[in-house]
Amino acid sequence: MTHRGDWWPNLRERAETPVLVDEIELPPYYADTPEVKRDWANYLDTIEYMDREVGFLMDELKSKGLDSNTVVIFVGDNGRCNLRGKGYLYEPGVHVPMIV
Amino acid sequence: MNTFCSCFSFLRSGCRTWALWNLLAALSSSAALGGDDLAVCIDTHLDGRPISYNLVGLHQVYTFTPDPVFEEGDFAEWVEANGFSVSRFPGGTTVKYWDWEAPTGQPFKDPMLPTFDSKLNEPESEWMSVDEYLDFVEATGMTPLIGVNSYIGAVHGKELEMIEKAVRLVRHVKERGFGGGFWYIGNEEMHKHGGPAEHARAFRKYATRMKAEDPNIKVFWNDNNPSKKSVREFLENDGGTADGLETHGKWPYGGSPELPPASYEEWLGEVPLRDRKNGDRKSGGRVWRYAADEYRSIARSMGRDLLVANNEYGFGSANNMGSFSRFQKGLLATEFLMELYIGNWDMTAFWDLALRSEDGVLDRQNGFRVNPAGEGMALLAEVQGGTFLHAVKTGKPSVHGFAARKDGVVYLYLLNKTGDSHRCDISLDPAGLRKVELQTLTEGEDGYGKLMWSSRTIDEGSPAVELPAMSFARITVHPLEKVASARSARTLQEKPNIIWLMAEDIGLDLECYGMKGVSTPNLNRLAEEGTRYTGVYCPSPICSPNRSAMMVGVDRAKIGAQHHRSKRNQPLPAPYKPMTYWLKEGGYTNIIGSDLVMGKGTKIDCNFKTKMLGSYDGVTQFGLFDKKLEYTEEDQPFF
Repeated sequence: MTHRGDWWPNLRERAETPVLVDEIELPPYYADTPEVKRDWANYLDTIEYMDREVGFLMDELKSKGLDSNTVVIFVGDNGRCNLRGKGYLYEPGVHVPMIV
Repeated sequence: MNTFCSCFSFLRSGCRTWALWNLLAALSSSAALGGDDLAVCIDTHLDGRPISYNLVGLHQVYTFTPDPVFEEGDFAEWVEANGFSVSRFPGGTTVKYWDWEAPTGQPFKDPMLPTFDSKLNEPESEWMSVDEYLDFVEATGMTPLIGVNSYIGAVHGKELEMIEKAVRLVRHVKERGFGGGFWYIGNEEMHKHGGPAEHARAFRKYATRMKAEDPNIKVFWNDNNPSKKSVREFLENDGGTADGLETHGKWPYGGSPELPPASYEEWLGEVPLRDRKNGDRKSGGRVWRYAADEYRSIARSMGRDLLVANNEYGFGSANNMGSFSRFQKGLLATEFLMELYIGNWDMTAFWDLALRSEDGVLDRQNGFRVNPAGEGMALLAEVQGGTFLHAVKTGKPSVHGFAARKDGVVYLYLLNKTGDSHRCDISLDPAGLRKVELQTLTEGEDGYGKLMWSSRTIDEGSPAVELPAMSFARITVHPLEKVASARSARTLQEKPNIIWLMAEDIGLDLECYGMKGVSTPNLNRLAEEGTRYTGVYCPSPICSPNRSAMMVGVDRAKIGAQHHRSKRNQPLPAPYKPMTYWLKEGGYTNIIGSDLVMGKGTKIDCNFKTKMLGSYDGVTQFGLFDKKLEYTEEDQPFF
């Protein structure tokens, strides 16, 4: 989902509440232009969608009565797909979230 | 090579609709069924015979499919995940005029002719070079099948030069780590050589030199209409160099034999499928179900054991079956492959990957989306390397299939060509506690395939399934012992289930990590109730080395997995084993993917030899997971 692909723009169009370009804060090393901001907002859209999917899975666990005997590990496979990110040895390429 | 792995649309979840579908519902709603009730009986006691590992192959025809389809990750992943096994290159007519050291990308054109116009050469991005092909084979774990021209040298008086060119290719392929693969010498060239004996003499010159370079290769010759006479003449003159016979045949026929087109009604009544052009035309043509054994017995009568392949199966020209819809073509391709399973063939390669929108495995006009044919093949691919039990009749000729067994699981494949749905009782011997899983390929509203899935445990009696109108079903029956042992593992050991959620390509860009403008309530809750880590670094900024390291628990360089999408054919070095192996040892059921997420989350992407499903020993078995997309209570504890 969060993997860059041709579904990204489509997902933004379909989102009930797409991420607002005015509310985002670009990392300082990205060019502050409308195109880059829109792309960043689109990336955050996919994160929101992915968060919803996590919600579906947690609901499924609960509905099957498995939520109290299951360890859930959430982790990124590599950094974000953007400049200095995936494919680069800068911090955003290798620093990933993990929640257990 | 792309760094960012942008994906083709064929893996978007919208392509397939998965519906939970209960077998019991089928039993209780028989009023909705239009067709007759059918019954099949599976004899699980049969010893059976082995099914080839190389039975679900594809063509990589470099002139018709542009590079990005192969280079960008999702097609390779789809092929690998579904167990497609053989990759034929360069395929078809193009091999005739093909020079691997100076490819032109011009199909059907001979670069040695004075009339050849090099200005018409296709750009490199439009076709697949040998190295790109080997990259693809490596990324997918498929078995290579590579063609060599044996005719062009004779035509231009350059035979020795062309033989040396072929030898250099064998050496190059071996140096790339693919020694001992499959080869074919000459594609549909027999008549140009002047007949089987002359063809065999040319073949022998190439094969002898190529086998001197790599003694482990297996070499096929091509004969599209093998007869007792042509096979004998060839084998009397090849000096024992041929390992296999590859024929090409389509439905209703290939080429232009001036026969009438086939209709849906004709297909409905035709079991088993025939090739109207080749074989004994007076009795209706070659029957795919019987032909391989006929060819083998001719060779055996001469003391030779032959591999037998149909390396260009598929459809004839569009005019020969113009009234067939996309989905009907998909079912037909699936039935064709099923006949090759039943007929004990050793190898196949489907023609073609993406030539016309509806006829390929991929739809060229729609973002290379997977056509129904590809989905049917994927269902069949699972039993490669298993045991064939018997063909299955239902009492209705146009509803038929076969039974197989693999890793203790019984498989029943059933094709329903009719326009009615049918309920089918399945008798299994012995009866008892079984877990029955059903996957059904039907036509979606958009004319592509729709795959439905359901599963339940049967305590007693025979399971019944609904076979929808125009559908292909795979029914798997898991034996009692397996279910029971998983149960006892659960009661003996109080182990928590583990769910590993891996998000692709994200930084610390969640609300709970302080990112502005994004809302992630579910992960926020997970972070509040659990532990949020802030100093987690992955070993590479790209997916496959990380996934390899994660799966084994050591740095990616320690296991040689540091290069992106490489070494997919090489087993993990000892003593390392994937974590799913240890989890299984510890009583866990390893399940990959979920219907609840886009794309179903079945990506593996490790840089060592793996298979999605099955056992793992790191030597001959490379399975990581026990199941995909499916969970039952008996699976606890699960990973």
